[in-house]
Amino acid sequence: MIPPRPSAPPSLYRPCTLLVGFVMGLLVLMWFGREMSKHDWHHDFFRFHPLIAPESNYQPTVAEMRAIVRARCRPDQILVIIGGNSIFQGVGQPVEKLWTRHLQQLLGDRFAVVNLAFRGSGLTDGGAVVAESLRDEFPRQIYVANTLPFNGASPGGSHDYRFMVLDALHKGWLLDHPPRNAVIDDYINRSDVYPRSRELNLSARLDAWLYFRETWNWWSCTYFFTFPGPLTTNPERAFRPRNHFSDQENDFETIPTSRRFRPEVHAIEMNITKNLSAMYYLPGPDGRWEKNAFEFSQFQKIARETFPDALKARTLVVLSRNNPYYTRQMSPVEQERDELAYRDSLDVWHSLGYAAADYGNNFQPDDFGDRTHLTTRGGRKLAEQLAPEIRSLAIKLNFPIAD
Amino acid sequence: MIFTTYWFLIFAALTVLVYWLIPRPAFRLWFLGGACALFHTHFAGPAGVLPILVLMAITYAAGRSRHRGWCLAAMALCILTLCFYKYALFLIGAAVQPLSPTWADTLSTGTRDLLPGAPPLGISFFVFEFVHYLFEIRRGGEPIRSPLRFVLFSIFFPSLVAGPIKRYGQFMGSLDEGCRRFSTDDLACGLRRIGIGYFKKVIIADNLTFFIDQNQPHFDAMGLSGRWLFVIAVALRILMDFSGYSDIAIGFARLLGVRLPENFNWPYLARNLQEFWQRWHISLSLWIRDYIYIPLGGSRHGIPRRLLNGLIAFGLCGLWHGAAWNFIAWGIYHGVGLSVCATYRQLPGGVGKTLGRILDKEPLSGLVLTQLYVWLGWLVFFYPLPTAVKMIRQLFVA
Repeated sequence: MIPPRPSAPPSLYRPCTLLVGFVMGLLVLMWFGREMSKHDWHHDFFRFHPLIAPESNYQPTVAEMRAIVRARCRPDQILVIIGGNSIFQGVGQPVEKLWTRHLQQLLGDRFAVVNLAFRGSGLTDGGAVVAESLRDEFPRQIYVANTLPFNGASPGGSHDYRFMVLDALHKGWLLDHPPRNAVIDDYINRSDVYPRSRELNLSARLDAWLYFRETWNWWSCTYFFTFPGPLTTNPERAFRPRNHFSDQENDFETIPTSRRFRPEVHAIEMNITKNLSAMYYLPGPDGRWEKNAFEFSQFQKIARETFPDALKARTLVVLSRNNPYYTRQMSPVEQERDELAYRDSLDVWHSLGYAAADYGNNFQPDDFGDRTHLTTRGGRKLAEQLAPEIRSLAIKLNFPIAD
Repeated sequence: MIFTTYWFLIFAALTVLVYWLIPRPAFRLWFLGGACALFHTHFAGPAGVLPILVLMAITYAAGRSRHRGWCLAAMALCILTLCFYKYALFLIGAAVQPLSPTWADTLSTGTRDLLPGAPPLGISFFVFEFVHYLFEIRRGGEPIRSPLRFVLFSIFFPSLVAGPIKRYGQFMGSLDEGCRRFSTDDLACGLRRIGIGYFKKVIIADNLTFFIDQNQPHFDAMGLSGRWLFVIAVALRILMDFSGYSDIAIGFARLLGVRLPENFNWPYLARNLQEFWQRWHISLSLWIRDYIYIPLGGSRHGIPRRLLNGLIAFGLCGLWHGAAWNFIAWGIYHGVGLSVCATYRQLPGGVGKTLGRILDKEPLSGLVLTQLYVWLGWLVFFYPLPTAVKMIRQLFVA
C-alpha cells in the first residue's frame, strides 16, 4: 500500500548538508538585507517616479527611504522632507524642473530637501513615516506635506500606503501614538473589511527580523525585477532592473493651455471644485456662511490625532488650492465660502500646534496642468511661497539657518 | 492562495519543528491533528468548518458500521453536499431556468440565502476522499478505527486545499510509518520539493498569469505568432501553477514523514491522450477511473458503451473543476479525444491501422498532435465557450 521509497538524493546535497545550507542561506540573506538597508541604491533619486513606486508593483521600504535621506542630508543640515500627494510629488513637471529642486536652491545649503511624496498619498504616509523614524538621527527636521481644507489624515496612514506605517512600526521606529495604535489594531482585526490586512501585518513583523524586502528591492532595482507590473507589461521591460528606468514624467508645459481643460471633464471638475467646502458651511439667516458644527468638530478631532504631539511643531501643513480656471467660474458666495474654508482650516491647524500655510491664491490658470497639479512655472511659484515659510519655521524651532 | 501566505509559512515551519520535537509518535499524531484543525479553522472560518465536521462524523460512523447501505447513504450525502455548495446555483440555472424563469429566480434567491460566500475550503477534495473511503469499505476494506487517524485523513493540511486526492490505505500506512522516526531523507526531499514548488508557482506561474491577464483582451489584435505564444503561456501557466501547488503539498507532507501520491509526471511529454491522463492530475484521473468509469461498466460492454462511459466520466471530471459550462465542455472535449484515441485504429478501410503505424513509428508526431489537442483545450477550460471557439479559430486564420 505504501509507495516505494524514492532513491536516495544525490550525494551533492546530503540531507544534513542541505539543512545546514538552508539555515545558513537564510541567515546570510538576513544579514545581507540588514546591510543593504543601510545603503542608498537609488543614485539618481529626486522623487519616487511611477516605476519605483507602488503603482508599478514596487514597494519602497522605510529603511530604503531612510538610506535615501541619509545620502542626501548631512548631519549639519536641516532636513526638509516633502510628503503629501502627486501635487507635491511634482506630477507634470520633468525631473530637471521639479519644484523641490527649485526649493532646494532657494533654501540654500543649510537645508537638504528630499521629496518623498507619492501619488494619492496623504499627510501621514511615506514622507511622514520616514521623517518620524529619523527624528533622533536628524532632530533638525521639517516635514512639509499638502492636503485640502478640512482634511486631516488617519494617524495610521492611508489604506494604499499603510504597508509603510506597518514596516516602520514593527521595526520599532515610530513613537507610541495611541490613536495610531487604535487605527492599526482596527485595521488588523477587521479582516472582513480589509482582507489582506493580517497578511500585510504579518509580513511587516517578519521583515522586521528578516529584512527580506530590502534584499528583494535591492535585487530588483539593481539586477532583475521579478514581477511584471501594470506599467511594464512588455516582457522586455517587465524584468529590467528598476534603476535602469529614468524618471520620465510628462511636462504639462508642452500641452497648450486650451487642451489642459478638456470639455468632457469640465462638469466633473467643476463639481469637485464647488464641493470643496460645501459640507463644512451652512447658509446662515443673515446670508453669511456658518460653520457646520459637527463636521468642524470632526475635523478638529482628526487633525489633533494626525501626528503625535512631539512632531506637530515641526510639521508644515500646506493647503492646496484648485486651479483659478475653475474657481473663477464659481459664484461669489461660493468663492467666499472657499476662502473661509482655507482661513478656518489654517486656524485649526495653528491652534493645534502645527505650522500651516496655503498656496495658489495668486496663481494663474497657466500655473496648473489640470485642476490641481502644477506646471513647472506653478511649481516654481510654490517653492517661492514655501521657502520663506520653511525658513521662518526653522527659526521658530531654533534651527541654525545661517553659517 | 493559501500556500503563499505568510501565515501558512509560519504555521508550517512551527508545525514541522514541534512535530519532530515531540518524543512519542502517538503524541505527534495528536499534535498534528490539532495543527490541522487550527489550519482549517483559520482559513475556512468557523462556518466553513461545519460541513466537513458533519460529513467527517457521518463518514466515520458509516465506515465503522461497515454496513453497505449506510455507506451508500453516506456517499450520497457527501455528493449531495458537494452539489449543494458548489453546483446548486448552476444546476438551477441549467435545469430550472429553461422551464420556469420565475421558479428559477425564487429557487436561486432562496439558495443564495443558504449558501456561504464561498464553498467550504477543499470541499471538492475531501468529498472525493470520503466517497473513495466509503466505496472501499463497501468493497470490504478495513475501516479506520481511531477517530484521530480519521481526522488526520480528512483534514491533513498539506493536501486539504488542492490535493493530491489521497487513498486512505496508502495514506494511513505512510502516516504510521512516517511519524515513527525523523528521516533526514524526508527532510531533504521535502525541502527540495517545496523549493521547486514555490519556484514554479511564484516565479513562473504568477508571472505568466499577469502576462495572460494583460494580453487576453488584445488577443484579436495579435499576430499569429503572438496568439500561439499566448496559448503556450496559458498551457505553461496551468501546469506550473497546479503542479507547483502539488509539489508544495507533497513537500510539506514529506517534512512530516508522509508520502502523498504524485499528481504530475511530465504531462506535456505524453504521446497520446490516454498517456496524458496518466501523467496529468494523476490522483483525480485515477479517482475518476476507479469510482466513475469502472462502476459505469468501463470498457466491458462493447465500444459504444465504452465511449459513452468515457464521455460521462470526463463530463463529470470537467464539472468537478467548476460550476460552468466551459468546464463541462472541456471535460467532454477530452472525453471525445480519448474516445478517438482509443478507437481510431479500428477505422474501416485500413486508414486507422495506417495512421496507427505512422504514429508508432514517429512518436514525435503523436506528441505534437496530443499537445496541440490538450493546449487548445485549455482555452475551452479558461474562457467562455464562444470566446474559446473564436480564439481557436483565430489561431489558424491570420
